[in-house]
Amino acid sequence: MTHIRRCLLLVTVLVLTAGCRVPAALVASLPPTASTLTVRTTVEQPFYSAADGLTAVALRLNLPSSFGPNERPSLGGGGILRVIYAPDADPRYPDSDFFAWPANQDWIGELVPGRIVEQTFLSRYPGLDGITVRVGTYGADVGTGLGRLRDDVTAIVREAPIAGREIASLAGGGPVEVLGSREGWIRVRLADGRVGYVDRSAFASLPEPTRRNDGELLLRLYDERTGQLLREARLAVRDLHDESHVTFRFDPIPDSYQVTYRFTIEAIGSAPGRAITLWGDPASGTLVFRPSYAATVLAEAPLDAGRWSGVEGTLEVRFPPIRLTRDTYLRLVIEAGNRPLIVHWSNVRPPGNLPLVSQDDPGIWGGVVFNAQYAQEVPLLGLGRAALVGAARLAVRDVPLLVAYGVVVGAVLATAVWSWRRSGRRTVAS
Amino acid sequence: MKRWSGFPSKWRVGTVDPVMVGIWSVGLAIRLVFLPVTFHSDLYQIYSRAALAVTSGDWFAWNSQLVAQLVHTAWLAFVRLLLPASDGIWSPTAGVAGLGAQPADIARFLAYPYLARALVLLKLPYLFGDAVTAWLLLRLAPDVPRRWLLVLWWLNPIVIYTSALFGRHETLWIALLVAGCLAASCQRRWLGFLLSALAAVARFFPVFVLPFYVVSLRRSWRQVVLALGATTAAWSLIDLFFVVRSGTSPTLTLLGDYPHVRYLVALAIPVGDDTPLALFPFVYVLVLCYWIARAPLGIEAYRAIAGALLCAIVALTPVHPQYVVWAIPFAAPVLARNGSGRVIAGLQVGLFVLWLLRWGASVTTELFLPLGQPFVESLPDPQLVAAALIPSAVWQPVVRAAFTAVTLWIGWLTFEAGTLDRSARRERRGELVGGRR
Repeated sequence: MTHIRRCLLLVTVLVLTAGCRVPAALVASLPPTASTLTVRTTVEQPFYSAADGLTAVALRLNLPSSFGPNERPSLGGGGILRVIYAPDADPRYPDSDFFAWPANQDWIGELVPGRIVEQTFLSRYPGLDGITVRVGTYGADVGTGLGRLRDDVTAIVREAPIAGREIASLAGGGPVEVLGSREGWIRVRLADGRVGYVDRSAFASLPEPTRRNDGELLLRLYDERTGQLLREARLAVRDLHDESHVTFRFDPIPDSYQVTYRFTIEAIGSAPGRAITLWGDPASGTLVFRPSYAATVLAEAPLDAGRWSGVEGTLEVRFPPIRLTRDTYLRLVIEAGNRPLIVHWSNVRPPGNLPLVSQDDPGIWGGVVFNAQYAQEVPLLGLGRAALVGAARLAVRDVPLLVAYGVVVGAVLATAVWSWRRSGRRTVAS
Repeated sequence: MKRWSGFPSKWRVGTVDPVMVGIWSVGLAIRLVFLPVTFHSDLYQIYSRAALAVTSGDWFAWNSQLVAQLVHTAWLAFVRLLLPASDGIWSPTAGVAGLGAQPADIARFLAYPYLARALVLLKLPYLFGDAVTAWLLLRLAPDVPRRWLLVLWWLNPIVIYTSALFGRHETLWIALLVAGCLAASCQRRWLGFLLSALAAVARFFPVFVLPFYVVSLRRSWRQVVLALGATTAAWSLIDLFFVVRSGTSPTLTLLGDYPHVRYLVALAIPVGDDTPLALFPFVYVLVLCYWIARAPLGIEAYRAIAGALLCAIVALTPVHPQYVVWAIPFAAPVLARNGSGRVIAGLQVGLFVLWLLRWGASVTTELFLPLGQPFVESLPDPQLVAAALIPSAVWQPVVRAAFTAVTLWIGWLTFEAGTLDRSARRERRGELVGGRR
């Protein structure tokens, strides 16, 4: 009996000290299917991951009922599932929308020598390898006035640079009113008064720039906790485009997950009238920026190795637990193999509320129907300690309550002891 | 020399049962542990509305659950003296239907330096409700094994969860309902009716058992008509008072806006046209007709049908499973009588815990928010754990069906125990064992 007790005690201590691994799903139940999507190339689905230890993904898809004579029957048709970090989809950094230049944000003024811009941030991913900011050159790309389009092209005018909606097209060779530039694209005013953007390469001539900036920008990255200088990166000012995103690149920092950093930006060799500026948010006093990270494939598994669930109609692909997935945005990449995949999508998007991105069908704003599974480490000892500390914190802040509790508990104990000692004796009924 | 027993002489029993004292002590200790460390926004909302009423002086502003709100307002007016600098901890939007307390308000409350004291004081009436109900039950069912009866109420995890963890005020009104039964069993039927009616004004569950009280405890049918007429008149007068005062009818507000009313027709059978056949009203009216036609008399019959009906409400509507607490005082005396009853009660508790997971972290792990956000965040969400083990499409319907079945079965046992003729049951038992030809 003593041995059994000792063994039980040992097992209990082992379990308590080692913690335990608890499975958990991403969502409680799969969202209802709205329709299906035929994936011939890839489909991507970013989502917010609240827990560590992602270890499986269950995709709802249609399996072929029969295979051709030359087809090898398989669950996933040679398709691949990848999981990668998606810091670019993380909306928690100040620069949350590449195309937006909100009216409540503004340029912070010329970055002249001696002025140092400082910013602190929490890095939520490992592999920090750069900081992207928005710069303004005060018209160093192009001046205002008339430009002329090339004869051999029809210029597409877009609502926003790069990927904006097409709003007009201009015949080649004609003059265009140039207002400035953004992201290397030329901002033009159309005859009807609308403003749009045209690719710079469509122009034969442009108004001369209004100024020329000199010097270089220097970014220094520090560990906020220790104050240690970790990285430096430089950019030549004259290479920068007006109203554009620019990234300071440096060697990746592998252990940058959930670490707080501070960076400074200063201009060296510039002078008033020849300096650039940065985009910021005067209300919050923060720079509009976004950290960038080295691409990391966290898991890659063939769909053919998946396990079919007849209950949910899902193909579950398992992989070794990914350690650091808590409080991150991840991206699920499904790549078709030798046959198209029929993947279900829903109007209910996964946590994070981001739409799927499909090269085959770009018009879908829903989310892929999938669930993810985690193997979460639950440190029982730590939890118990946290509960006790929390309770102690509550109690210590209120001594009168503590005393009242002591009195009540004491009275209860005294009553219990009194009743046990009295048990068996008869009370005198009056 | 006489020893002081701690109770007035007429309450003294022959011996002091240390096991009973132990049960009382354990139940109290469990509640004391949970009172200051658990919190749900329902508790905060009702007391925020009470704080608004106390500070503005308009005690009748919130008329959706008038009596319940008034009691909470009165209690807060009494205990706020013990909560220093508490004026800013309440939600200004708690009284706005559709908005309720906002996360920032809740965060402010949780950051209150005397949070533990506030939680203990705010939930103290519920602890009192639990204890009074337990004591009333012991008085109401003297022929039932007392220890088990006390265990099935005072140590019942459903009761502890509802009052001490979740902070629902149900047991205050349950105590009134049980007190109504006790009064009726002491031949004070009108007092019993008044107590039950008061519980019905506070919460809607007792409304369904009130007609059965009137029918079961009548002296004549004329008295039934009189009681129903008086109730309707009193209700109309109260309603009219509010219509004149605020321009809105509490009854119509309740029927039009209160989500639990929609729940009553949620389970329905499609019958071919646009209007489905709602199951709960159907069963309810059917039972009411049976009751009027068969007209069983006595407090036993009333307790039986009340228990069965309250079980049916939880079983046949999508209300939160904790509201099964309403049926427990009626079912516990029946279940405490034998081992199988206790096993079924245990089964119900187990299924309750499982079914609770379906509501996710907000009614499980997040109740422990007073212990700190990091602590709660490190707890795995039980609903997601369950979903990782078995698809929700499987476990949720199974658990719900099992919980419904067990609850209905308990309802049937309660109904059977109080309404079937005892001699007939003895006769049938005799036939089964071959003791009677």
